[in-house]
Amino acid sequence: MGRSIARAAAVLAVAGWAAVAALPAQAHVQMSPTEAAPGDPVKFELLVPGESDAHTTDVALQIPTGVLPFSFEDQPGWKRTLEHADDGSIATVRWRGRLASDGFVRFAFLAATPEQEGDLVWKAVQRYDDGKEAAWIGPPDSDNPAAVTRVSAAARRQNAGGEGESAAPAAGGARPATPVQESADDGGGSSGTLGIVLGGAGLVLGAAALAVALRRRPRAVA
Amino acid sequence: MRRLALLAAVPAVTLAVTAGTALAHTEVKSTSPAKGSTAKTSITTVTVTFTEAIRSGTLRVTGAGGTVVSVGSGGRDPRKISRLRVPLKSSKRAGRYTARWTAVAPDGHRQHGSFKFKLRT
Repeated sequence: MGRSIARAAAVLAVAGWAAVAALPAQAHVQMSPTEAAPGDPVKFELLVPGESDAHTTDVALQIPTGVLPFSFEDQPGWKRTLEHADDGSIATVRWRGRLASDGFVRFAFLAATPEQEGDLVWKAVQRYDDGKEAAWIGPPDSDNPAAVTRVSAAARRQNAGGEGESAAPAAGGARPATPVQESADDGGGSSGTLGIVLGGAGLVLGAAALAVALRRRPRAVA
Repeated sequence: MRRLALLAAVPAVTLAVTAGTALAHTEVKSTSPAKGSTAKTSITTVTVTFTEAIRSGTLRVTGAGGTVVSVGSGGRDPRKISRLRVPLKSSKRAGRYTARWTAVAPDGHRQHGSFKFKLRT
Protein backbone atom coordinates (compact mmCIF):
# COMPACT_ATOMS: atom_id res chain seq x y z
CA MET A 1 0.00 0.00 0.00
CA GLY A 2 2.68 2.44 1.11
CA ARG A 3 4.77 1.44 -1.87
CA SER A 4 1.97 2.08 -4.37
CA ILE A 5 1.42 5.55 -2.91
CA ALA A 6 5.12 6.24 -3.27
CA ARG A 7 4.99 5.02 -6.86
CA ALA A 8 1.96 7.21 -7.62
CA ALA A 9 3.77 10.18 -6.11
CA ALA A 10 6.82 9.49 -8.26
CA VAL A 11 4.67 9.32 -11.39
CA LEU A 12 2.97 12.60 -10.47
CA ALA A 13 6.34 14.23 -9.84
CA VAL A 14 7.60 13.17 -13.26
CA ALA A 15 4.37 14.36 -14.90
CA GLY A 16 4.75 17.69 -13.13
CA TRP A 17 8.30 18.05 -14.42
CA ALA A 18 7.17 17.22 -17.93
CA ALA A 19 4.45 19.88 -17.74
CA VAL A 20 6.91 22.49 -16.55
CA ALA A 21 9.52 21.53 -19.13
CA ALA A 22 6.92 21.70 -21.89
CA LEU A 23 6.12 25.37 -21.23
CA PRO A 24 8.97 26.97 -23.20
CA ALA A 25 8.00 24.87 -26.23
CA GLN A 26 4.96 27.12 -26.63
CA ALA A 27 7.47 29.88 -27.28
CA HIS A 28 5.10 32.69 -26.39
CA VAL A 29 6.09 35.59 -24.22
CA GLN A 30 4.13 35.13 -21.01
CA MET A 31 3.39 37.16 -17.89
CA SER A 32 2.65 35.83 -14.46
CA PRO A 33 0.50 36.14 -12.48
CA THR A 34 -2.49 35.96 -14.82
CA GLU A 35 -4.72 37.21 -11.97
CA ALA A 36 -3.97 39.97 -9.50
CA ALA A 37 -5.84 42.01 -6.90
CA PRO A 38 -6.57 45.72 -7.51
CA GLY A 39 -4.38 48.32 -5.81
CA ASP A 40 -1.87 45.72 -4.74
CA PRO A 41 1.94 45.64 -5.04
CA VAL A 42 2.50 42.52 -7.17
CA LYS A 43 5.63 40.68 -8.29
CA PHE A 44 5.26 40.31 -12.06
CA GLU A 45 7.46 38.01 -14.08
CA LEU A 46 7.84 38.22 -17.84
CA LEU A 47 8.96 34.93 -19.40
CA VAL A 48 10.73 35.34 -22.72
CA PRO A 49 11.61 32.17 -24.61
CA GLY A 50 13.88 32.19 -27.65
CA GLU A 51 11.99 30.78 -30.61
CA SER A 52 14.20 31.03 -33.65
CA ASP A 53 17.76 30.11 -34.61
CA ALA A 54 18.74 33.69 -33.88
CA HIS A 55 19.48 35.21 -30.50
CA THR A 56 17.06 37.55 -28.74
CA THR A 57 18.89 40.80 -28.00
CA ASP A 58 16.13 43.23 -27.09
CA VAL A 59 12.83 42.91 -25.23
CA ALA A 60 10.55 45.93 -24.87
CA LEU A 61 7.54 45.69 -22.56
CA GLN A 62 4.75 48.30 -22.64
CA ILE A 63 3.44 49.04 -19.15
CA PRO A 64 -0.38 49.14 -19.18
CA THR A 65 -2.00 52.39 -18.02
CA GLY A 66 -2.50 52.49 -14.28
CA VAL A 67 0.29 50.00 -13.50
CA LEU A 68 3.08 51.56 -11.41
CA PRO A 69 6.35 49.61 -11.44
CA PHE A 70 8.59 50.55 -8.50
CA SER A 71 11.35 47.94 -8.32
CA PHE A 72 13.15 45.73 -10.85
CA GLU A 73 15.11 42.53 -10.34
CA ASP A 74 18.60 42.59 -11.78
CA GLN A 75 19.05 40.04 -14.52
CA PRO A 76 22.77 39.28 -15.07
CA GLY A 77 23.81 39.93 -18.67
CA TRP A 78 20.84 42.22 -19.35
CA LYS A 79 20.74 46.00 -19.22
CA ARG A 80 17.48 47.72 -18.36
CA THR A 81 16.27 51.13 -19.57
CA LEU A 82 13.00 52.91 -18.78
CA GLU A 83 11.00 55.14 -21.10
CA HIS A 84 8.54 57.56 -19.53
CA ALA A 85 5.17 58.92 -20.68
CA ASP A 86 4.34 62.64 -20.64
CA ASP A 87 2.90 62.38 -17.12
CA GLY A 88 6.18 60.91 -15.85
CA SER A 89 4.88 57.36 -15.46
CA ILE A 90 6.90 54.43 -16.80
CA ALA A 91 5.62 53.66 -20.32
CA THR A 92 8.11 51.05 -21.52
CA VAL A 93 10.75 48.86 -19.91
CA ARG A 94 13.46 47.67 -22.28
CA TRP A 95 15.97 44.93 -21.58
CA ARG A 96 19.04 44.45 -23.79
CA GLY A 97 21.26 41.40 -23.69
CA ARG A 98 21.84 38.18 -25.58
CA LEU A 99 19.75 35.06 -25.20
CA ALA A 100 20.91 31.61 -26.29
CA SER A 101 18.82 30.47 -29.28
CA ASP A 102 17.41 27.64 -27.18
CA GLY A 103 17.31 29.66 -23.98
CA PHE A 104 14.74 31.67 -22.09
CA VAL A 105 14.98 34.56 -19.69
CA ARG A 106 12.72 35.92 -16.95
CA PHE A 107 12.40 39.59 -16.07
CA ALA A 108 10.82 40.18 -12.67
CA PHE A 109 9.59 43.49 -11.29
CA LEU A 110 7.33 44.83 -8.55
CA ALA A 111 4.43 47.05 -9.58
CA ALA A 112 1.21 48.40 -8.09
CA THR A 113 -1.91 47.26 -9.95
CA PRO A 114 -4.67 49.78 -10.80
CA GLU A 115 -7.44 50.37 -8.25
CA GLN A 116 -10.05 49.35 -10.85
CA GLU A 117 -10.78 45.81 -11.97
CA GLY A 118 -10.13 44.91 -15.61
CA ASP A 119 -7.62 43.30 -17.95
CA LEU A 120 -4.00 44.41 -18.13
CA VAL A 121 -2.70 43.78 -21.64
CA TRP A 122 1.10 43.37 -21.69
CA LYS A 123 2.34 44.24 -25.18
CA ALA A 124 5.91 43.11 -25.75
CA VAL A 125 8.26 43.26 -28.72
CA GLN A 126 11.12 40.81 -28.96
CA ARG A 127 14.01 41.54 -31.35
CA TYR A 128 16.60 39.07 -32.63
CA ASP A 129 20.18 39.62 -33.77
CA ASP A 130 19.24 38.70 -37.35
CA GLY A 131 16.99 41.77 -37.53
CA LYS A 132 13.70 39.90 -37.15
CA GLU A 133 11.23 40.83 -34.47
CA ALA A 134 8.26 39.20 -32.82
CA ALA A 135 5.53 41.57 -31.66
CA TRP A 136 3.43 39.99 -28.90
CA ILE A 137 0.59 42.46 -29.22
CA GLY A 138 -2.37 40.46 -30.58
CA PRO A 139 -5.61 39.25 -28.98
CA PRO A 140 -5.49 36.09 -26.81
CA ASP A 141 -6.49 33.66 -29.60
CA SER A 142 -4.06 35.05 -32.20
CA ASP A 143 -0.67 33.69 -33.26
CA ASN A 144 1.08 36.53 -31.46
CA PRO A 145 -0.99 37.08 -28.29
CA ALA A 146 -0.12 39.77 -25.77
CA ALA A 147 -0.03 38.37 -22.24
CA VAL A 148 -2.99 39.35 -20.05
CA THR A 149 -3.35 39.77 -16.30
CA ARG A 150 -6.91 39.98 -15.01
CA VAL A 151 -7.28 42.44 -12.14
CA SER A 152 -10.02 41.13 -9.88
CA ALA A 153 -10.98 41.72 -6.25
CA ALA A 154 -11.30 37.94 -5.93
CA ALA A 155 -7.60 37.44 -6.61
CA ARG A 156 -5.16 36.83 -3.77
CA ARG A 157 -3.36 39.92 -2.54
CA GLN A 158 0.44 39.68 -2.75
CA ASN A 159 1.67 42.87 -1.10
CA ALA A 160 4.98 42.12 -2.81
CA GLY A 161 7.73 44.30 -1.44
CA GLY A 162 5.07 46.36 0.27
CA GLU A 163 4.54 47.01 3.91
CA GLY A 164 1.84 47.36 6.50
CA GLU A 165 -0.59 44.94 4.91
CA SER A 166 -0.36 41.23 5.44
CA ALA A 167 0.21 39.01 2.43
CA ALA A 168 -2.62 36.76 3.55
CA PRO A 169 -5.62 36.48 1.22
CA ALA A 170 -8.15 39.18 1.96
CA ALA A 171 -11.58 37.76 2.75
CA GLY A 172 -14.30 39.20 0.55
CA GLY A 173 -11.91 41.63 -1.02
CA ALA A 174 -11.73 43.65 2.19
CA ARG A 175 -8.50 45.57 2.44
CA PRO A 176 -6.69 45.46 5.74
CA ALA A 177 -5.92 48.86 7.16
CA THR A 178 -2.40 50.11 6.70
CA PRO A 179 -0.81 51.92 9.62
CA VAL A 180 -0.03 55.52 8.83
CA GLN A 181 3.53 56.54 9.43
CA GLU A 182 3.82 59.75 11.42
CA SER A 183 5.63 62.66 9.90
CA ALA A 184 6.64 65.96 11.36
CA ASP A 185 3.75 68.36 10.99
CA ASP A 186 4.40 71.49 8.96
CA GLY A 187 7.70 70.01 7.89
CA GLY A 188 6.84 70.02 4.22
CA GLY A 189 6.03 66.59 5.46
CA SER A 190 7.83 63.34 4.92
CA SER A 191 8.09 60.23 6.97
CA GLY A 192 11.87 60.13 6.67
CA THR A 193 12.41 63.10 9.00
CA LEU A 194 12.29 61.11 12.24
CA GLY A 195 14.63 58.51 10.79
CA ILE A 196 17.16 61.12 9.75
CA VAL A 197 17.08 62.80 13.16
CA LEU A 198 17.44 59.49 15.03
CA GLY A 199 20.15 58.37 12.66
CA GLY A 200 22.05 61.62 13.07
CA ALA A 201 21.76 61.43 16.87
CA GLY A 202 22.99 57.84 16.76
CA LEU A 203 26.01 58.76 14.68
CA VAL A 204 26.96 61.64 16.97
CA LEU A 205 26.62 59.47 20.09
CA GLY A 206 28.59 56.68 18.47
CA ALA A 207 31.39 58.98 17.40
CA ALA A 208 31.57 60.58 20.85
CA ALA A 209 31.72 57.21 22.58
CA LEU A 210 34.43 56.02 20.23
CA ALA A 211 36.46 59.18 20.79
CA VAL A 212 36.29 58.68 24.55
CA ALA A 213 37.28 55.06 24.17
CA LEU A 214 40.27 55.84 21.96
CA ARG A 215 41.55 58.68 24.13
CA ARG A 216 41.43 56.42 27.17
CA ARG A 217 43.38 53.71 25.41
CA PRO A 218 46.93 53.35 26.78
CA ARG A 219 49.75 54.16 24.35
CA ALA A 220 50.67 51.22 22.19
CA VAL A 221 54.13 49.78 22.77
CA ALA A 222 56.40 50.91 19.91
CA MET B 1 35.88 53.61 31.71
CA ARG B 2 37.23 52.81 28.26
CA ARG B 3 35.24 49.60 28.17
CA LEU B 4 32.12 51.45 29.24
CA ALA B 5 32.50 53.98 26.42
CA LEU B 6 32.97 51.20 23.87
CA LEU B 7 29.81 49.52 25.14
CA ALA B 8 27.91 52.76 24.64
CA ALA B 9 29.17 53.07 21.08
CA VAL B 10 27.58 49.80 19.93
CA PRO B 11 23.87 50.61 20.47
CA ALA B 12 24.37 54.16 19.22
CA VAL B 13 25.83 52.97 15.93
CA THR B 14 23.14 50.27 15.65
CA LEU B 15 20.47 52.96 16.07
CA ALA B 16 22.08 55.01 13.32
CA VAL B 17 22.06 52.07 10.91
CA THR B 18 18.50 50.83 11.56
CA ALA B 19 17.01 54.33 11.33
CA GLY B 20 18.19 54.47 7.72
CA THR B 21 15.51 52.08 6.50
CA ALA B 22 12.85 54.77 6.94
CA LEU B 23 14.32 56.55 3.91
CA ALA B 24 13.29 53.98 1.32
CA HIS B 25 10.18 55.91 0.30
CA THR B 26 9.07 58.88 -1.69
CA GLU B 27 9.77 62.35 -0.33
CA VAL B 28 8.20 65.74 -0.93
CA LYS B 29 10.17 67.47 -3.67
CA SER B 30 8.28 70.76 -3.76
CA THR B 31 4.94 72.34 -3.03
CA SER B 32 2.97 75.14 -4.67
CA PRO B 33 2.76 77.58 -3.01
CA ALA B 34 6.11 76.81 -1.37
CA LYS B 35 6.11 76.14 2.35
CA GLY B 36 6.10 79.40 4.29
CA SER B 37 5.78 81.53 1.16
CA THR B 38 3.22 84.17 0.27
CA ALA B 39 1.10 83.86 -2.89
CA LYS B 40 -1.77 85.83 -4.39
CA THR B 41 -5.38 85.15 -3.44
CA SER B 42 -5.99 84.58 -7.15
CA ILE B 43 -4.17 81.21 -7.23
CA THR B 44 -6.48 78.40 -8.37
CA THR B 45 -4.70 75.24 -7.21
CA VAL B 46 -2.38 73.87 -4.56
CA THR B 47 0.03 71.06 -5.48
CA VAL B 48 2.50 68.77 -3.72
CA THR B 49 5.17 67.14 -5.90
CA PHE B 50 6.97 64.01 -4.72
CA THR B 51 10.29 62.50 -5.78
CA GLU B 52 8.58 59.31 -7.01
CA ALA B 53 5.28 58.25 -8.51
CA ILE B 54 2.34 58.07 -6.13
CA ARG B 55 -0.60 55.71 -6.34
CA SER B 56 -3.22 58.00 -4.80
CA GLY B 57 -3.64 60.68 -2.18
CA THR B 58 -5.66 63.55 -0.78
CA LEU B 59 -5.02 67.27 -0.35
CA ARG B 60 -7.09 69.78 1.64
CA VAL B 61 -6.52 73.45 2.32
CA THR B 62 -7.97 75.32 5.29
CA GLY B 63 -7.82 78.95 6.34
CA ALA B 64 -8.57 80.87 9.53
CA GLY B 65 -10.96 79.05 11.85
CA GLY B 66 -10.67 75.87 9.82
CA THR B 67 -12.58 77.22 6.80
CA VAL B 68 -12.09 74.82 3.92
CA VAL B 69 -11.02 76.64 0.74
CA SER B 70 -10.19 73.57 -1.38
CA VAL B 71 -12.78 71.88 -3.62
CA GLY B 72 -13.18 68.15 -3.01
CA SER B 73 -10.47 66.04 -1.44
CA GLY B 74 -7.84 66.41 -4.16
CA GLY B 75 -6.00 63.62 -5.92
CA ARG B 76 -3.21 62.69 -8.27
CA ASP B 77 -2.61 65.19 -11.04
CA PRO B 78 -3.62 63.51 -14.34
CA ARG B 79 -0.72 65.34 -15.98
CA LYS B 80 1.97 64.24 -13.53
CA ILE B 81 2.18 60.85 -11.84
CA SER B 82 4.22 62.23 -8.92
CA ARG B 83 1.98 65.19 -8.07
CA LEU B 84 -1.08 65.77 -5.87
CA ARG B 85 -3.34 68.69 -6.71
CA VAL B 86 -6.55 70.25 -5.47
CA PRO B 87 -8.51 73.18 -6.94
CA LEU B 88 -9.27 76.16 -4.69
CA LYS B 89 -12.47 78.14 -4.28
CA SER B 90 -12.33 81.59 -5.82
CA SER B 91 -13.66 83.19 -2.64
CA LYS B 92 -10.41 83.30 -0.69
CA ARG B 93 -9.31 86.08 1.56
CA ALA B 94 -5.83 87.23 2.42
CA GLY B 95 -4.48 85.33 5.39
CA ARG B 96 -2.75 82.20 6.61
CA TYR B 97 -3.57 78.80 5.14
CA THR B 98 -2.62 75.22 5.92
CA ALA B 99 -2.45 72.43 3.32
CA ARG B 100 -2.72 68.86 4.63
CA TRP B 101 -1.94 65.87 2.41
CA THR B 102 -1.92 62.09 2.45
CA ALA B 103 -0.21 59.95 -0.18
CA VAL B 104 0.09 56.24 -0.96
CA ALA B 105 3.34 55.12 -2.61
CA PRO B 106 3.24 52.35 -5.26
CA ASP B 107 4.41 49.84 -2.61
CA GLY B 108 1.43 50.74 -0.40
CA HIS B 109 3.38 52.90 2.03
CA ARG B 110 1.14 55.66 3.43
CA GLN B 111 2.48 59.06 4.35
CA HIS B 112 1.00 62.36 5.39
CA GLY B 113 2.15 65.87 6.11
CA SER B 114 1.23 69.52 6.00
CA PHE B 115 2.62 72.94 5.19
CA LYS B 116 1.57 76.52 5.72
CA PHE B 117 1.55 79.48 3.37
CA LYS B 118 0.03 82.96 3.16
CA LEU B 119 -2.21 84.60 0.60
CA ARG B 120 -2.42 88.32 -0.07
CA THR B 121 -4.47 90.30 -2.53
